[in-house]
Amino acid sequence: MTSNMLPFIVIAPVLLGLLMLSMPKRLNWWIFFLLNIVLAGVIFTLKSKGAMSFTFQWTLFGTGKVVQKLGVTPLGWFFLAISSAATLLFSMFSLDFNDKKHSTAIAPLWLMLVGATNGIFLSQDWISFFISWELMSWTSLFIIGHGKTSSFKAGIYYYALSFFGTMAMMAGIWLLFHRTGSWEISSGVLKTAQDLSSHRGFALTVLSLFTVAFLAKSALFPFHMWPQMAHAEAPDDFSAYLSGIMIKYGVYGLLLFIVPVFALTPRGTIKSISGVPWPMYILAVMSALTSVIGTVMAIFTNDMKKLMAWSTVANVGYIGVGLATGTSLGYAAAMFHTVNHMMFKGGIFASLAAVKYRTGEREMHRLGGLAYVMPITFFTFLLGIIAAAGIPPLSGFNSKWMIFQALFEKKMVFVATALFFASTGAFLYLFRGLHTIFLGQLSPRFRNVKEAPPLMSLSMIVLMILMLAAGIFPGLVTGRFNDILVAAGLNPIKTTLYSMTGSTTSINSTLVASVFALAVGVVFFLFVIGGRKRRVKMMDNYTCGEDPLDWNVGPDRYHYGYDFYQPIKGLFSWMPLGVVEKGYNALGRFMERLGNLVTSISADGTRLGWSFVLGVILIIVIGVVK
Amino acid sequence: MNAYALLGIKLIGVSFGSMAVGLLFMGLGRKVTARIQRRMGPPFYQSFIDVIKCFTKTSITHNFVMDLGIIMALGGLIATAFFIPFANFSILGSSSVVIVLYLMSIGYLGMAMGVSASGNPNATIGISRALALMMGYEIPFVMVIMAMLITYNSSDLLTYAVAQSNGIGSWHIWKYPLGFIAVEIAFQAMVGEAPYDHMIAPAEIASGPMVELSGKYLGIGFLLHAVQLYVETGLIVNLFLGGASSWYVMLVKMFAVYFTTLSINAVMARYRIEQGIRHLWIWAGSFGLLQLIYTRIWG
Repeated sequence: MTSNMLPFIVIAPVLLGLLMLSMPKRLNWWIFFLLNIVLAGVIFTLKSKGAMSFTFQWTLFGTGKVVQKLGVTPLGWFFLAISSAATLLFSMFSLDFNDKKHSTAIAPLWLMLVGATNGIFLSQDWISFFISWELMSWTSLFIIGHGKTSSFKAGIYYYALSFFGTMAMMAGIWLLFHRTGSWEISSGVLKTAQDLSSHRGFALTVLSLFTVAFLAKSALFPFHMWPQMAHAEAPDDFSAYLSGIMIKYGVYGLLLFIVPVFALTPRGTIKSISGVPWPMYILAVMSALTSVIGTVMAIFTNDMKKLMAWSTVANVGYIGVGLATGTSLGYAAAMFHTVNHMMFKGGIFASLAAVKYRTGEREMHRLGGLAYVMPITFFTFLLGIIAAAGIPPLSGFNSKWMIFQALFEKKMVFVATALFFASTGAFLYLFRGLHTIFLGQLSPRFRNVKEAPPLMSLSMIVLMILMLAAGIFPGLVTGRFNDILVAAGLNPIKTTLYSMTGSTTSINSTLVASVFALAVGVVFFLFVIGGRKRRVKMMDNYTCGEDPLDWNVGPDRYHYGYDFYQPIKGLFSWMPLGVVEKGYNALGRFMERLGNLVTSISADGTRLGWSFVLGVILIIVIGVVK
Repeated sequence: MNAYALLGIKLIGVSFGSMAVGLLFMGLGRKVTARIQRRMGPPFYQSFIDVIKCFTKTSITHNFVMDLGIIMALGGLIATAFFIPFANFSILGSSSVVIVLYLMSIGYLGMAMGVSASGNPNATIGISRALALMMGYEIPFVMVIMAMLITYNSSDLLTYAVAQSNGIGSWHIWKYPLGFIAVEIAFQAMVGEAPYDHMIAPAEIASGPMVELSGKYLGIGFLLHAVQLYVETGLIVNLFLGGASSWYVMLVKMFAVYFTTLSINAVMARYRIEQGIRHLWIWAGSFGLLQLIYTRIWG
């Protein structure tokens, strides 16, 4: 069935975004919000209408006819649905966030980015995919930059790595086209799977070119350093989108192209380690390394947005490990963690944006005690970190449990050990965020801080409900996976609304949650029948008989927040953590010098410049003649 | 009997049973430590008296987060106790070790949240030490559990306990000797006894997390430690000491584990925090890793 709805949800946001560039800011945010409602509505009705596609043909000079096709696949629809729902929530958040004082002019670009995102998830051919991918890259560059010098530097860094990936992908697409004679993604998957046995070198080259692009986008090792710059410097309300949705494009790419190829390859075609084809094993190791690096860096970061950006890197590592196992369980776990990460990291970044909106601070040690004045924001952050640490009864536990089950199924115990390390470390940095921002002493400067504005609070409350729902009833999410798994050539997983079945056991999340609720009930009963309680001021603490104010120590200095884990810093000094960054920086400086050289030659128009140009032409001519 | 009544009985039984067992162990433990130090020590029921007294006094609170955190802490640990098989009986019919490990964390998170909301830096320093130490013991512990997990292809604690029910020769101590050493070292840190008592460190940070607790808050703090003892000793008994066929054997084995810990505690001094973690990584970690490698390749 041909449907004009598909190009509408891709092109309408892009065109409207262009139009909005000339409109007033406040109006733009309203249009952005309203159009997101429309888009989410349209996308959620798409599923029930059955298979549909939209084809568009044109002729490319020299290569014949190009068929561009948009269509709804189970995987694409799933990503489309979750991203449009999350975008709607974030746009509601932004509506209140962008008041006179905090407003940025990113709404038009953001709308174009939403169109590009829909394009990525709907594309059935590499041309559409690539166009959407590029549109996404440069719109996000300008959004991250948003007119500040420091932000623009971060944006450039992000764009340079992403550009490297895009070029690799373009090379991969050309190679694939050369081999299959078609731009279609599905035929590319089939052909590459066949090539893995007949033309192994070629197939592996194509796969690794695509993998580079996807790793760069999802910030997996060795591209793990851009989120801490980009997420931290981006506009605060956009960070939620950046971390919730944009980091997942690479995951989508891996699920779309890399995992199905290995799923379609018969077992024994390529050597496997621990039952996993070796390229996938390498991917698993790289992902585990990503989570370890992300975790260690997060533990010692003092900037709250940077801390959460590193945490995002660590979580993408989990997703990478899940999908690298290549089993149905791992594939499902990767998707489940993608959804969960979207919810909890969206919630966390939203609460951080609310904190920054009210206080203007980003350095954690300058905050403290905000839970007492911003309870909704605090609870969003709290549920977010419980989910992020993978503690039941919130959603993060279910997906982490599935990832571990996938690893146990393949007996990949050493990768699992690295993930457990990251998981325990997550507890350290997440608690640090909770304490330093929301607990401890409330500084007198923030005594009159108010709760976040209504629409911001509302979107945070919705996020909290979603996290709880997915935590208590995992089937709400996992129930959607089976048709995606079948479409990718994998077996369905066993799951009900309440429970999930893994490789070593099955768990009933609803049971765990209700046991926890009942136990809390018992303790609450004990608490109520216990003696009377009296409320005392914060500064009236036990201090060994000294009054802190006598020593000129007020609530600000009495808050233990700066260099929280200083005593254990030395334990990680042996890790070569900054090596990759140093390498990139050296490369960057080299490119800058090269650029300066070219500029100095050509800019003043001297003979040297002309001789350089002539030399280049000469080389080309010689090359052609030969 | 209808299902709700049964659930109610289980709820009351596990909640108060685990508290009672833990408090009994704490009382006996004080007696043991006293005898090692050639003192008389308090009577074995002293902990019960302490808790009841705490609950009757007026207590001090600073804000709602403190109340919430303390309640969440004990609630989380009691919920964990439901997933520990007691005398080869799984209370809810499911006792996944992964759930135990992660559900225990909500208790710790609640405790950490509650005491940091008290605003005393000593409490927060204690928590930061406890969390850092967690990095030290959690990794070796998990490695040993994974060794068992890949042998039995099951993560159910009851499976492990039942597999060891053929007399002392079938205990996992003999099957995973290196793992047992690793877990014993890690266990010392898990219950926070010397040389890993950084969290409490009475002489340095005024009992750390406990510094601001009073009245019923302190009472819940004691109960928290009691349930923690029940859960963690129960975990070790199920993992290594063959489970148990009757409730008194279970209790004796659990106390034996705690007794070992106390004996070490009584004669050791405290490490510095980074020394403690390094020690755990090097010793417990390498034994755990060797066990895992051995089981993965030959097991």
